[in-house]
Amino acid sequence: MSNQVKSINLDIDGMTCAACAARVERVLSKNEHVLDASVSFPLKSAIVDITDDESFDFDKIIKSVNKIGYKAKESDEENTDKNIKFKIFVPIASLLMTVSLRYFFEAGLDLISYLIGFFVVLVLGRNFHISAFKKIKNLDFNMDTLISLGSLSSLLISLLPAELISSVGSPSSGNKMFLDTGAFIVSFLLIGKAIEDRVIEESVKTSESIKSRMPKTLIVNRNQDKIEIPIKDVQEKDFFNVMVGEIIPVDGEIIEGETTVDESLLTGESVPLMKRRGDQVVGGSINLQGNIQIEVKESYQKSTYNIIEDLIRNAQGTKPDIQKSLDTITQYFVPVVLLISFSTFAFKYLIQGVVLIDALKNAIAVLVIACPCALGLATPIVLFKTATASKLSGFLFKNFDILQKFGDINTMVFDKTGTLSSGIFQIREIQMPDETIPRNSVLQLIASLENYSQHPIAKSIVYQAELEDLPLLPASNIKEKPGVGIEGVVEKQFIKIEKNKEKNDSSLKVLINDKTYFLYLEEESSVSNDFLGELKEEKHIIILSGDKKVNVQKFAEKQNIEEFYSDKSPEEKLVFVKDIQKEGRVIFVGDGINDSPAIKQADVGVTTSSSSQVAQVSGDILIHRGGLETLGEIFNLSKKSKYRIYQNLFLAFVYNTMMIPIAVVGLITPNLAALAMALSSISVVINSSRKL
Amino acid sequence: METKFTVPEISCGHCKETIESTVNSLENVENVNVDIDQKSVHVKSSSDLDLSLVSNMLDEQGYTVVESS
Repeated sequence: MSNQVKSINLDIDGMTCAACAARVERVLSKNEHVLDASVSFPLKSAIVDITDDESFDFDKIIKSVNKIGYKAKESDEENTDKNIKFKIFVPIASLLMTVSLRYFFEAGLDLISYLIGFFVVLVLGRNFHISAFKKIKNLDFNMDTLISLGSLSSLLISLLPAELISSVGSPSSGNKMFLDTGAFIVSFLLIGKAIEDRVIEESVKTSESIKSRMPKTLIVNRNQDKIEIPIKDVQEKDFFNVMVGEIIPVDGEIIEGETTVDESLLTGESVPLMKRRGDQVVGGSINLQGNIQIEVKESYQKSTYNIIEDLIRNAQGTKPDIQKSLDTITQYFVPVVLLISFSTFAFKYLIQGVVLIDALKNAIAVLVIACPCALGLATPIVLFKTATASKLSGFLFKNFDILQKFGDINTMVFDKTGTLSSGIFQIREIQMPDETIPRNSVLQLIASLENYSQHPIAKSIVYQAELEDLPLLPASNIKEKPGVGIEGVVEKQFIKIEKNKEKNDSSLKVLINDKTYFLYLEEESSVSNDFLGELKEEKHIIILSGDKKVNVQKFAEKQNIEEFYSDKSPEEKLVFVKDIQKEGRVIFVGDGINDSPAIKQADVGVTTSSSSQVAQVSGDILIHRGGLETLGEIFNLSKKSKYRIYQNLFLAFVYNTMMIPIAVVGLITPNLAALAMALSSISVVINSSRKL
Repeated sequence: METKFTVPEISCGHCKETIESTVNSLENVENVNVDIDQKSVHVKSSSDLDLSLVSNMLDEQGYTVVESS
């Protein structure tokens, strides 16, 4: 029996951070029917892929999420439009009811006024009170504490007998109007929240759409059977067909057919790339031209697309330093506001002798205006945007802790081989004693023997022979002396390859039947010649390499860098980084595999690697496409992202703090304070969702 | 008895609350303290803490327990 795979969409309420989303995801994944669960914190939703058979129990899924403290319900996609309208309808209705309060009082229908007021504050505003209450139980405060306290105390004051609260001479119905203060606070906040949700949804939707386009199941040929399996069960050696226009779901190698593919879903580059038999294709790219058959080389879990998605999701759980300190500040800020509010009341009422009702108004205005509601919104949307933008530019932040310091670090240490240079040697020239053996045959013989060596130069020569379509021949009597050379017999000809000792560079001396040939090689650079020169104007650049001095020097001269070190082992690189850290923070840029200790030690580690290695490499920032030339863009994006967060904090925090004195002196009514606060939240969200 | 273990998923006050109340529900537990920065959990209990039970309970909540020596 083949089980049908189905996707269900859930709405999940109550998540406060990306870590919550990760928790929900883990709990969902535990269900035996769940193949894959992906929870989006900004969208407050989850997409769950399940196998649908008789034993599938939908309620169990909902219960498992509710059990850990969130609220899940199935989202009905057809009704989404209705939902959006409903979401906006509630706050607007709330505001209209609030405005109407005054008229019911004036018409003498006090009971209706009270019913409406209580309904708005207690029922529509229930989420604020629940959240505040949960916190207070643990003697903890959050923004909702202020909202809840502000609106509930207004409600309470409106109930007090008028004589108790108004002094002689003031209108006796004055305290009734506190009812609309509480209701205004709740209404404005609800409207603010609805607008926030809407903006977040819009800004997140586009980037989530890639995921929704990935196929869920795949028909593969496995052991000569054709079976339909969920994508995540795809294994090595399965093969499958991809038709024109379809998305290639997992990484693999083309074994039949040729086509062009569009990798823009992963890389942002929409240039079609030619792919033939034997070429690798990346999961997530679109097959543009011809039908192809693909053999899977690695399981879905190791597939580039999956790994990148995982890394991005994990990064969302990390917080920039500034957010961490803000979390601490908020904890103290709220009690301080409570204190200011209380003092305002005490001072006005007891010392200045202001009418009780006015003193209370003052105190509530302080509570409401100071609420740093937008604080919680200051970073998550920006980080989400940053992650999306970076993915499209070919790099990833594995961790957002480093976002703030990254641009300010002035010392950059570069590894050479595999980072600045490709590690691939090109044959510049073959110097031949005579023409008895043609050049191509010389290269073929040398490559056939070098095929038995692991040295990078040997591999480069083999690569060159393959490029020129020269078949490799079997060799015998092979002897390799590491660091010296290799010898052996190919096609009955004795060949000896060794370093050219007369020239201390990457040239080789080759003996073929006692005739001497020289191979002049040059290492391919991964970056343009003035690349580091440009960076040098802003940063202190050091090249730190395990390669020989001649090679490093030659390279450094070409790049115009004075400070370079050669012949360093991975351990020595680590020690070197530790040493210069005594003078300041360091960025290390390397390939992430050999120099992994140094990368971990550095304040920020940047690694360059091909997509296939994304999983193994260490580092805080991974460049998986486009190479080092992307560095400029990384600096740029991290700077923009950092400033965007600062702007948000200003909008959310400084603004509120500045308004406190105005509220203390009584220049703002509680209703206006509620409006101002809602505006500050909306401005933060709109600022976040602008293009980075 | 004092037991200390690490929960790598800890990231905010929400996690702290959940873990503290979960572990607190065990009878022999006297005091639980979660350090968010260190991602660590300190438990004071009147008798030996059944770590595999704690681990199962937290697993249901979506957390993993990593024992520290």
